[in-house]
Amino acid sequence: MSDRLKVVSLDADFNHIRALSGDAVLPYLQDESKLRGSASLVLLPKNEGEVAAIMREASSKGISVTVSAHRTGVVGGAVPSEGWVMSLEGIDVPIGVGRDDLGFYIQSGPCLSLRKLEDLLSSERFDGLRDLTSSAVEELKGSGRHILLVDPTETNASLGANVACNSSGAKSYRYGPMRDWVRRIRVVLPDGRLLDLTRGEHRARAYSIVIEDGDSEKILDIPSHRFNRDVKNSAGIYAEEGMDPIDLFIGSEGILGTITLLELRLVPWRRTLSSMAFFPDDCSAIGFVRALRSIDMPIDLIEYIDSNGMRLVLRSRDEGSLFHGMPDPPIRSPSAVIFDLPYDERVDEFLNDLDGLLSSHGSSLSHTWCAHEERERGRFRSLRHAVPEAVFAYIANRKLSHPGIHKMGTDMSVPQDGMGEMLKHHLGVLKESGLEYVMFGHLGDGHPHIELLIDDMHQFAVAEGVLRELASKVVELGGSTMAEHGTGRLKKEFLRLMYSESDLEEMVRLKKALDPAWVLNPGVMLEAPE
Amino acid sequence: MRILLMVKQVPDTNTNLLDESKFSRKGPMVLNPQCEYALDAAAALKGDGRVVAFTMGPSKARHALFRCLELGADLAYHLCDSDFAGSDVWATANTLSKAIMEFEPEFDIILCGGHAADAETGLLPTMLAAALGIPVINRCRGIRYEGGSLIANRERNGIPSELIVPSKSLVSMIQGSNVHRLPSLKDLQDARAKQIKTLDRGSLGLRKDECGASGSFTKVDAVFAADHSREGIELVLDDTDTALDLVIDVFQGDER
Repeated sequence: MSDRLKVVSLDADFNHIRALSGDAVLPYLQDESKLRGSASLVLLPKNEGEVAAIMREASSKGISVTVSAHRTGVVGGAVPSEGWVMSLEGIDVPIGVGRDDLGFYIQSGPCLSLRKLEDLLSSERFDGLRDLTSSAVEELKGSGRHILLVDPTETNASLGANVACNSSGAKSYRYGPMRDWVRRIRVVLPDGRLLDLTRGEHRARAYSIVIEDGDSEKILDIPSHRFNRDVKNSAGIYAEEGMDPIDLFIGSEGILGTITLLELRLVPWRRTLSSMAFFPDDCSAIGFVRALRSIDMPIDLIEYIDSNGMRLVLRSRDEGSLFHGMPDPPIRSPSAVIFDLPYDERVDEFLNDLDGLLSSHGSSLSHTWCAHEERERGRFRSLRHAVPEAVFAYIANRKLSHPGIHKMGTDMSVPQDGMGEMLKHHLGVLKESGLEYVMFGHLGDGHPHIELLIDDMHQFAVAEGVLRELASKVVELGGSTMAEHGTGRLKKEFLRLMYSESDLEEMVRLKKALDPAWVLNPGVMLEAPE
Repeated sequence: MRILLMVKQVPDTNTNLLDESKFSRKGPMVLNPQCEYALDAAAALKGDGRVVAFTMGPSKARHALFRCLELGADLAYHLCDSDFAGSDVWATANTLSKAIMEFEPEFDIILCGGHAADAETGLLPTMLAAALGIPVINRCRGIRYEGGSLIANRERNGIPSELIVPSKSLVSMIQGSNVHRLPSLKDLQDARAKQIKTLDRGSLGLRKDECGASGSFTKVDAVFAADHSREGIELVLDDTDTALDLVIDVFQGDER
C-alpha cells in the first residue's frame, strides 16, 4: 500500500457547460434546512470532465462553488452563500456491477438517489449496466436480490451526498455508517484535478499523504485530532494515524473535493420482519428499548417516536396534509418503538421472547403493527420518516410568517451508558424552556433526534440557547454533536464544542492545502481563515 | 357467516410491472390491492363465522394467502401445480370452482377483488359465479350486514345504489375503507398456527385439458405499456394572468 496518491487532469470545455441564471436559480438556493442563500449562476455538468472544468475555472478566478444534488440535507450544506452552484443532478446513472472477494458492488454517478438504486436492485433488471469484472452483471442476476445494507432514511438523497456526509440511518445500529460500505470513489479536487481512490490501495504514512502530479508532489498533513468512533459521529474531518485516504473524503461534506463516481458494496437481501410497538408513555417505550438492546436477538434497528411525535403525525393525518390512510394506533396517545428482525425460521422464538418483553413494559404483541411483505415494509419506512416530514411541514408553514426561522433540531449521539443521563438532562432543559418538541429516531444507537417546534423569532432565540445546552451535555458525556447529518452551515458552533482551536486549525490547514482559494463549499463545516 | 375469499398475488404496482413482453415476477409480489378490499370486507362481516381464502399461483403465492390469514382468514387453500400454468381467466374460474365445490361447498358468500392489478380483465368474478351457477354483484364499494340481510353498495355513473345480496352469491369489491389495516405481531403469531392446504390438479379431479394453458380459450401473446405521451408545446405569454387563465382552461378540458 502506498502513501502516494496520483492526480490526473481532465479535458473539458467550461464554455459548453449548461448554466441557469435569473429566476431559474431560485430552486437551488434552499435545502430541507429551510435556510436560504444566494448565487449568481447554477452550472449543470454532465460528466466528471465538466465538474473538473468548473472547478478549474472557479479556483483560477476565486469564485465560490457550492455543490448541490437533491438538496435533502438539513444543515444547509447545499445552500450557497454567493458565487456559483454546481448541481450534479445530471450525473445520476448507475454505471456497472463488479464482484470481488467481498461480494458484489455497484458503480454509479454521484446523483443517483437511494430510492432509484433500491428500485434498480429490487427489479433485478440491469440492462445497460457494464461488467466491471468478468460477467458480473449476469452473475448478479443469478445470485438473487441484493441490497445496499446501510439505509439512510431520506431515500430521495443522492448516493454522493450520503457518502460525502457519511450518512448512517437506522440500520447503522448493526451495520455501521455509509463509510464502511464504500469501495471506491473518484474525487475532483478544488483545483480541478482528479483523484481515484479504492479502499485498501493507499495508506497514510503516520499523519501525511503525498499527492503526485507528474514530477511535482505535495505533502498533505492529516489532522491529528482523535475522531470519536465510540458513537455515531459525523462531526469534523475523519482523521486517524495511518488512515486510508479514501476516508478523508468520506464524511468531509464535500469541502475537500467533489465525488464524481462511487462504488458501493451490496449484500444479499433477506426477508425482514418490521414491527412497531406502542406504549402508554415515553418511559415505558424507553425502558423497552433498553431491554431490547440487552437481550440476545439479531435486531437490525431500533427507532423511537415519543408521544409528542406520534401526536404530531396523527394531527398531520387528521388535517389531511400527510400520511393519508394510516390507521389509528391500538393505544391512545402512544409512544412507539420500531424494530427490525430477520424473518426466518427463528420467528416463533422471537415472538415468544417479545411477548414477555412487551408485556413487562405496558404493551403486548397485540399492541403492535408488523410487516414482512416488501410493500408493507415500505409503508413502515414511511412511518419512520413521518415525524421529520411533519416537522419539515410545520417549520415551512411557520416560515411563511417568520422568514428568519429554520429547522432547529439535534443530531447528537452519546455512548449507551450515557443515555439515561442525557435523556434526564435534555427533558429537564426542554421542560424549563417551555418549547414544544418531538423526540424520535435512533434511540437504540444512543442517537435520538429532538426537533423544536418554533412558532416565532422569540422562540427561535430561546431554541438557540436550548440547543447549546443540550450540545454541551452531550460532549460532556463523550458523545457527538453531529451524529449523522453533518455540520453544514448551521452547526459550526457545535464543532467548537467537540474540537479545540488547534484541532480546527489543522482541519483548516488541510482544506487550505487542497483548496488554497477556498472556493469549494465555503462556509460549510469550517470558517475561512482570516 | 361462512365467507370464501378469492385472492391473487400480483407484482407490486409501485415497481416496474413489465419485463419485456410479459408481467415481471422478479420484483416484489403483493396481495392484489382490490383483494385487500375483499379481505377487509370479509374480516368485517365474519363475526363468529369463518373466512376461507383461495388462490391459484406458483409457490410464492402462499405469501398472499398468509397475509389473508394474518388479517382475518381462518384457513387457506393454495391451488398450485405446474399444470395450472398458463391458465386464462376461464381456466382459472373453472379450477377455482372445482376447488370450492370439492372442499368448501357450504358458504354464505364469496368475496373477491373487482380486478387484478396485472391482468386487469375484471372477468374472473363473473366467470367464477357462472361456473358455480350463483348470482354475482360486481364492482361494489362496500358491504354490510343489516337487519338480517347483506347489503352491497355500488355506484354507476355517479348514481349510488344499494342491493340486497342473495344468499350464496359472489360479490366483487373495488373499494375498501381506505384505512389500511396492519397486522399485529399477535396476528402474525396466530397466522403461523393456521393452515395453508395445497391442492394440485389431481386433488381437484381435473383432466390436463381442463386447466392451465390447454384448458384455456385465450393466450396472452404480449403485454406492453400503452404510450400516452404527446408532443408538448411551449407558449411564451406576456403576463401571469393570461398564463393562469390558460392553465385553468387546460385543466377544464379546453386544450385549444
